[in-house]
Amino acid sequence: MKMTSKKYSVWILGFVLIWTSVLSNAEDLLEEDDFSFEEETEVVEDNWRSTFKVTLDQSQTHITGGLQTQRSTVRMEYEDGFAKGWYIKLDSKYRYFWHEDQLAQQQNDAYGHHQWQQAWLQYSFGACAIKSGRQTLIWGEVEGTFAVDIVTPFDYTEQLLTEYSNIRLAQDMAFAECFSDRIQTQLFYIPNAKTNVYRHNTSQFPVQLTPGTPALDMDVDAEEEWGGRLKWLGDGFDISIMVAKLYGNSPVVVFEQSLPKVDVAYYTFYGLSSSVARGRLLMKFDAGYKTDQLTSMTSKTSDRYDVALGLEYTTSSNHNLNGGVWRAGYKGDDALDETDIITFGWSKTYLKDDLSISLLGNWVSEPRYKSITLQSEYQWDDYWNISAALGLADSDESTEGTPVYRPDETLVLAIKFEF
Amino acid sequence: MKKYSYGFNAFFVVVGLLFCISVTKADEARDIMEKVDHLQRKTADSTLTKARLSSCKFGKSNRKLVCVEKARVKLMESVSTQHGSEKKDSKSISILLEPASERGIGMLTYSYDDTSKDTESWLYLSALGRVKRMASGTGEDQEPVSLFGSEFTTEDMESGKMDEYDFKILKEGAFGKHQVWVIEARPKAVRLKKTNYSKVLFWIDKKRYISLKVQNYDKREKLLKKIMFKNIEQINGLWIARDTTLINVQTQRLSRMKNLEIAIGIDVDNEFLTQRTLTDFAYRERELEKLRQHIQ
Repeated sequence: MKMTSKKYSVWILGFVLIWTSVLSNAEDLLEEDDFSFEEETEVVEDNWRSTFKVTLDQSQTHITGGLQTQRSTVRMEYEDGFAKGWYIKLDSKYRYFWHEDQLAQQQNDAYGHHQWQQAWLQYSFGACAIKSGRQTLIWGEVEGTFAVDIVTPFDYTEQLLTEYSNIRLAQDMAFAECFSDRIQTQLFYIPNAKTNVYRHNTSQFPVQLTPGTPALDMDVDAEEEWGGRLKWLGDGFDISIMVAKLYGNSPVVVFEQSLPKVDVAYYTFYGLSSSVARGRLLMKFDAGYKTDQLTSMTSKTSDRYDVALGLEYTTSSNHNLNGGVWRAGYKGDDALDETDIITFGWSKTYLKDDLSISLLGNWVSEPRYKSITLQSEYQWDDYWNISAALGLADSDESTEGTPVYRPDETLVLAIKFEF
Repeated sequence: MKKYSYGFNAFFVVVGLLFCISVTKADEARDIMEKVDHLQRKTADSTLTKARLSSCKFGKSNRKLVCVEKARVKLMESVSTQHGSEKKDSKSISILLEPASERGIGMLTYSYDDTSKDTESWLYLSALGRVKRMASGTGEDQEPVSLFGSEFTTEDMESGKMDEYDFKILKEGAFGKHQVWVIEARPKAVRLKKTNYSKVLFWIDKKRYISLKVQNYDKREKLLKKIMFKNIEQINGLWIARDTTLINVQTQRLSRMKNLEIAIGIDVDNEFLTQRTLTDFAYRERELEKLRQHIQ
């Protein structure tokens, strides 16, 4: 009897507990949350800060045997739609090369260098816009290959591993672009073309062919460049055709009447680019044909073709995988060997996009060279950014003493403050 | 035997009635959610917004939630329009204004209700000065990702997909000053593989057909997120929340989306939602200035 009573008590208690729980759950649904969020309100209004940006940057590169670069940068940008149909962008950069930086050591002292990264005025009317001033023009789809991305030269005085936004050398250019439903048309004109920059305040890169002979100055004056692009936008794909009259970006030593001189090619360029998106696969294609290319240390010219294919795929868990193949070859009986370049990469963001990690590898057939770079970037808050890159390279030929020195081991550390 | 038979029949009648009631309730729940979804889509049609998205780790002080660290803030200006016979396709462009490190990044997106059609998107990378086509697929088989690094995910911002859920009214009654339905949405098998949630509860205002609160539960049925909609205003005949706060109870982080400026039902030039807007800044500013005249 006692047992039965206990049994009933347990059942009743269980029932009451379950019912209370059901009731409480039901009541919870209509009970107002007691939370209210108080945020220190920051009034966001149009002010000078919205058109003005300052970047302070400190970076250094370590290679086997010591420091390669040690630099501080102050960059100021201003952009504004100051009047109806008008827009201005000014982007000015001052870099200080500390004593141990290799560029400073070439000049035997630390030095500062100022340059206008961009300075242009844009006017938009009807279906067109014109932009005049210092600017870059980037063509092509396959990143890391330069089959058609050849209008804007490189600034090799910049850190190449971490900061991609600075490594192109803006030129003074008049640029026009028109838009219709499916077609984009671009035209550009450059009165005085620039070539790649390797050094400051001195001749670009003196080359001494044999001991005792005067060094050749790699500074070359290039003149007018012009060209255009027609881009057709389809459903899920784009196709572009390009034509231009250009100067080469890399000066080379050639022989003219048996005498060495530094020159750049002046050539006609024809290009074709396309990108096609299918699901989460992006297929990219660039092809370029350049006439009258100079062959280093000869008096010959030949036509060159470049073909690049790229693939980019984002997995369901947002890993980005990419790869590309780029072949460059020359036409003619005495043509140089073809060069093949293979690139591959992986990237992913973590911690709500604050941390990005990427791996980039490439392999070059001639001269044989391979490298792999692991890069990470962490956005500490809305202002501070820290990045690091570790590069390992293996080359059959030493590049020491050449304009673009590629050491076997490189560690880049950079810290940036933007406001 | 006869008595047993009557009891048996009565049982089936009761079960049948309960089934009919539950089916009717489910239909009613779905009808309500479809209406809510329809109205939500209308708020995204021909709309300009300037929104401030802040995120931080939170704690409690005087029974109020406060950020215990400096909030990360993103400010963006967006324009969107709806297309198609049922206005279920959308075109939108968003430009980041803050923080300074991301200023100028622009994203143009065309998304389609037809799940076999890929979303098309282009990203303007201000640091490189070029437009890049993105291959984002249909988004259907992709894990939800954080929206601009906040606690909101792409899944939280989705509309439509009504066929991928079973709906049920759990409760009706007063929720604060408003009469609401509390509706449960449980993902069907087709949805389960691409959602982070086992169920979502919606508190729907009976008068205005707008969510006042949403709760998301993780795959173990534990409460994951609470979303509260405040400062609900009527703009151009449509109800819209100016202030949305999402609390992730598991990570103790919150995100708040404040619509600082809204204009609905504006006349957006078709050309504005094209790649031109990503690179022709003078055109973009000229057109935005026209649209900003309608801000309420």
